[in-house]
Amino acid sequence: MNTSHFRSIFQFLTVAALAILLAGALSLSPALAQDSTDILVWGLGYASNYDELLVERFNEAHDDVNIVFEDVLTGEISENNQKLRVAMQNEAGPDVLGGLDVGANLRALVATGQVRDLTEFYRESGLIERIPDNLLSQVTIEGRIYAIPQNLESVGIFYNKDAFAELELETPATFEEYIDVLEAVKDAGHYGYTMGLAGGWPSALMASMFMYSSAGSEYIDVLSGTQPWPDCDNCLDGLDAFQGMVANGYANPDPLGIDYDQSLDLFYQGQSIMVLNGPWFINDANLAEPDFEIGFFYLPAVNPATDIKTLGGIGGSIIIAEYAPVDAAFKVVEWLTSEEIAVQALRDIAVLPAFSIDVPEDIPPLYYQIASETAANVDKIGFWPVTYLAPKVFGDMNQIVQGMIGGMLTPEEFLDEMQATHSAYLAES
Amino acid sequence: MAQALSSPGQRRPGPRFRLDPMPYLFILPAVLIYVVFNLGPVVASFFFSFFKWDLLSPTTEFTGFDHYTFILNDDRFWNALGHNFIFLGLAVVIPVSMGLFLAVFIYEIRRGRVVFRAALFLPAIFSGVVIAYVWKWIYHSFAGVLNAVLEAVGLGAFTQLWLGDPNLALYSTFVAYTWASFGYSMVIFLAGLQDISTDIFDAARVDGANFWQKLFYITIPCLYDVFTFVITLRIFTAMGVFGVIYILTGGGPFYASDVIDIYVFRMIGNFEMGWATAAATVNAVIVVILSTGFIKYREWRSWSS
Repeated sequence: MNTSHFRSIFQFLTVAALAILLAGALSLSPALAQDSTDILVWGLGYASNYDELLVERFNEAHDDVNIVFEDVLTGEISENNQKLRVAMQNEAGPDVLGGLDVGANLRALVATGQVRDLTEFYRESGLIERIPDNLLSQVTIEGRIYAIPQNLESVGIFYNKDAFAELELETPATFEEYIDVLEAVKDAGHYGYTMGLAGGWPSALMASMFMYSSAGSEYIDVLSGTQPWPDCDNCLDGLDAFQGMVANGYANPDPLGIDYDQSLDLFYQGQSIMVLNGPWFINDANLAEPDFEIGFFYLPAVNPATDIKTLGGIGGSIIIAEYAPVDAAFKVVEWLTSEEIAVQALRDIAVLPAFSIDVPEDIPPLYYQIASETAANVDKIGFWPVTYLAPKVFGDMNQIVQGMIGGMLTPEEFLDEMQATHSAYLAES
Repeated sequence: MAQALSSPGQRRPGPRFRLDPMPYLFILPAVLIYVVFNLGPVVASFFFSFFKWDLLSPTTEFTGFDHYTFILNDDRFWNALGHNFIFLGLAVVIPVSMGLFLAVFIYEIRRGRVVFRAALFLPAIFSGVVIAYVWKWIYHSFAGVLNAVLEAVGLGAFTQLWLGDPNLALYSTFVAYTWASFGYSMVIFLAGLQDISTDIFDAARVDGANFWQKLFYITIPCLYDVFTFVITLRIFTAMGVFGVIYILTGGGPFYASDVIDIYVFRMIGNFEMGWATAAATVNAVIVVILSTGFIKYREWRSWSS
């Protein structure tokens, strides 16, 4: 090999090294110029298409923080929680996450030190003044606050306004009036109470609504395990009333054989006139485009003396991972909890924030009614059963409610069965 | 002087074992995939059944046989296992018989064999989720095809709450399972039928044997090993049935169609990995005992006859 060969090789290596250096510098330059911090987000607590829209808006408005959105969440809460736990344990999960369910899952994440303590952030940002105490208590563990309640939901009855007008019905103010409405709807050949329990969760939701409606905060004592289920005499009135929806022929046939979506089809098709549901139903109904107007009222209390108006609570909460870059993550959360974004979400997709806002009047009347009534009754909301119960007990509750609605259990046996399930779980865990 | 064939310390000539690495290299990827994705999780599952772990905690707590004690004392576990056995009992009879009869039918017909084979095998290639959703609408009590057809043909008295009646729910899910699974049995039987010498059937025909005689005295005995395989396959799928039941009934109403895998799924949803893996291990042991026992019995019967 002569010197010219060495020269050629040297020239080639020099050019290659310069090319690599140039490419590296070019790829690094935007990051160097912007000096932005990436924040990994799996979801901001809304539907994924709305999350993506928000991410786009945030990134357009901020140069120093960049949200990287990974759409890994599905509609299955338990599956999402499994992904979250595995990823967070390996510090590969999201830096900021919206829409996390409070209750057992948040407690587990806090217990293992995966979630940042937000108590100081609350004080410094003034957020603590904007969130009602009963909602704050749901994200407070041993005096420290670990999550931000994001949206507030309450359950009520959505009804077919056109059918009500046709049957000359008024929205009921008492439970007796509600039964009269159901009778009139039944006489007209429609179903008054839409029930699709095959999917599971609506069973516990509906039974809880009726138990809150008759037992009020006594039902909270039962859920939190401070009072045995069979001792809740007032719960029985609610369970009787719930069972009566089927026994008296107010509900659609085969409530145990059809699922939530199939039951909603009955409502959209006009066969069923009323449906007990949460505010997420508004988006479903908008997509289904029924050819009638939808109204809303709270289920009148079975027991007028009850101290709980309705079932509901925090629809999702925001957390920051312990390993997240703090300042950048706080910036995302501050933006997400700003009045501007919250009002926009209410206007766009009917999601009411858990922190106080002035509900704008120029939104669709149904949105306005639900948002203002939910905000007005925030201290009279009985929280979701899953806020108190372990997911396994909640899952069993769905089956046990099916047993009662199917006539396999009396309301008394339902309470006994729940007690056995609840106490067996507590004893074993 | 006869030359010594070998002297001390010298290797004797003759056939020697030579390890050719190539075949092992070829099967290595498959073995690795099997170990990582099949064997590994099974071993890990067995291991975790002795620990309390919630997928999140960096530490676990050794619990010994506590999870097994809890599972074996839980009425809902036995209820679910009982349903698996009902499923199994039906699965080794109905989809297997259907598969056999349809295979014989396709084997016997002269025209349209390919069309029938494709049409009958079609349900088996659909995703279980799709099949379950299709059946969900077929079974819909007042908007479903099944009740509508019964009404239309004057059999309105037979309309049922197929998924909402606790006495029917399990059997309704079994029909959907059968629809999805008989095609596999049929294809396997069909392959077995093609291995039987046509001379035997020709001789039987000459002797005047009818269809049933050929079926019971030639076809079924000649498909002895195929039956063993098909039934073993049914044991696996019936004891591990999940998707169809989960989508159709979620194990309800009131646990009326609950099976072990749904029971396990409920535990996993609660992050009770110890309980879930203990239940899964018990189910796996039952499947191993049933399938191995069945195969050994068939081998013994084959050998003794």
